[in-house]
Amino acid sequence: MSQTAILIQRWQKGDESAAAALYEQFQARTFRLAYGLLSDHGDAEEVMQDALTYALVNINRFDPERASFSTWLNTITVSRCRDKRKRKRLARFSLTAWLQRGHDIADHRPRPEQAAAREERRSEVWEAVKELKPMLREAILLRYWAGHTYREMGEILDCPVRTAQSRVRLAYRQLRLTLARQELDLQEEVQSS
Amino acid sequence: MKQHLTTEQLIDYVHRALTDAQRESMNRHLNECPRCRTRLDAERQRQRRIHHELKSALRDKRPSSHASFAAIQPKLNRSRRLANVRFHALQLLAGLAAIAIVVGLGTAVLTLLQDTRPPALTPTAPTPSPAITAPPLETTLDFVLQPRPALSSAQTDTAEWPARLLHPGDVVWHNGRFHFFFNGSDGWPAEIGIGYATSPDGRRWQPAATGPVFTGEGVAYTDFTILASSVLVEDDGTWVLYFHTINRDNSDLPGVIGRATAPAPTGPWTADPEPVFTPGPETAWDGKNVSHPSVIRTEEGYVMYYTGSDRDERHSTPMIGRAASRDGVTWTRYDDPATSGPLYAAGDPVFTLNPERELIVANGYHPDVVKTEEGWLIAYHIYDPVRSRDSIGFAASDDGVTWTPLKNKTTFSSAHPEWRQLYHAALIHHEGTTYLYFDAQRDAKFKTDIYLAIYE
Repeated sequence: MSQTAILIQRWQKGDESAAAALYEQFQARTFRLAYGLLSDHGDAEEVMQDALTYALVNINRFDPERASFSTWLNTITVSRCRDKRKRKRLARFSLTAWLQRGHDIADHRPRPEQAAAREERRSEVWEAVKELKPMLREAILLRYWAGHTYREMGEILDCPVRTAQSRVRLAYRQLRLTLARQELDLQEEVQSS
Repeated sequence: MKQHLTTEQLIDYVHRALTDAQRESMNRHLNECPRCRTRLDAERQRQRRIHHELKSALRDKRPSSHASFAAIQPKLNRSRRLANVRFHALQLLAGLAAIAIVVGLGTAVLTLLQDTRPPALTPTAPTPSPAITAPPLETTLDFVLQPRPALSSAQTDTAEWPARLLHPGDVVWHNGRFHFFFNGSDGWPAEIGIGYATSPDGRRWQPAATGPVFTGEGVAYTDFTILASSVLVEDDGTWVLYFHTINRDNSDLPGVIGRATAPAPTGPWTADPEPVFTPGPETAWDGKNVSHPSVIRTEEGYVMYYTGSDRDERHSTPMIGRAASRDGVTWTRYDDPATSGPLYAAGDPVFTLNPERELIVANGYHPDVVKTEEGWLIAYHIYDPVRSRDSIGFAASDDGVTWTPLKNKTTFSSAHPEWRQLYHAALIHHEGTTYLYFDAQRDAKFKTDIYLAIYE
């Protein structure tokens, strides 16, 4: 029996230390998936806490016959990220409307996360991932970062397996352009040196 | 197919989005066309780069310290209380509904039977529950726990390699020193690295490498990581490490046992291209996963003990098996000719605490075996699902096949006030002394230290 299964059993019996251990186990992973989908530290943290709380409270709804715990948790995380995006979009619209009325609330000082973003190692692939449409970004992260099978992705994204597959290929094609451009630049550099 | 493959075809190929017929046709072309093979390699490299860069971009992302379990605990307790109330209310409703149905059906049946003679009722004998007898325990061992961890996560959790979750792999004595190969990871699930430490006396250990000496990256037959559990040094000085693969949750890949070799303990380690031991037939007791190899040298060659299970790990009742080999690569399962049926046709387990394979009975697995002057000794992990308790069990054998469970004077279990969980055990017998290493988690933080108990 896996350690996760043991912890789930313990938590189902009410052992709170098992809930704490599950939280510890999945915290960083869940946060990284949320960050990968939202690129915002605060939002990702909120989604991580929300998703793990939901999973732990509803642990009796978890059916190990249907999916693994991490697949189930990622389903919850992706869904929470979608909600978050939706809420942010609405907020942005209203903010835009407010700005159009002539109020100036813009603060041009760099926020801490912007400063941190500048410092982090530039990865053109990561920059390209951030440019993908949300549904393609979900697909590429679940497949390439989380290593889910297409069947699991179908469950997480609530779509047929073939749709999951085609989203991954579509996302890959877009990222491939970035990579191909880099390869070309590299070739030119080599030729000119 | 004379035309070169299109980029779209290559993309579909690397994403496994082809029918068998399409793939076969492309394989035929690839066999004959070096140019398309090169293009395919380039496509695979791009895939690897995306995978690698995504991992790098997210690896250092961590939630802030205030987003700990304590932050959600009040909400969790409140929600759980509410969920329980709802659950009990539903149970009550379901119970009332069931009573109503039974009463209704009973009335209907009585009405139907009113004019008929009741049939002669034969009392049904109750089905006996499987007789699970506790194995005999003799108190013959006296492993004494040493006061401090032999290797603590404080020694291994560094900026370079944050190995805070430690599991013993194996300890060997070679060239006047003890050599410890341990498994380290930054939490779980996470990729495991095999670390290396040395000691002059087996009691005080110092990591001898700043990072892992081996990882699952060079192992083609795992989609996630590996866990090492056995190490040998051959007469020609080659170091041999046995490990099992750990696949991603819900993976269709079986758990298999692999081998890697190196000219020195710090490497470079090279994994064999194929696993050396794989699950038995689908219907066998070890038909789904084999793991935790413990390999020892004998006069005839090598003997391996391993954990086998026949179902997905989440629903399994693993048992301990044995296999023999002349070269450490090709293995033959122990097979008791007296047993038959699909479960045991290809081989038999040699040790279990749970012969009836009940899911809620304490079970022993993850063996580590040594040969001593007095015979064979095995240490294994016991998980008791009823009491939610881990402990370390022992058994002895004269022939390595028939085992008698033994009791240690002190019990090493998660009931100990300082330990929450125990996971793996590793034994080494050297100059009349047996050293037992095991990992224990001390608090809710996902960190383990490796403890030592000595039997002289």
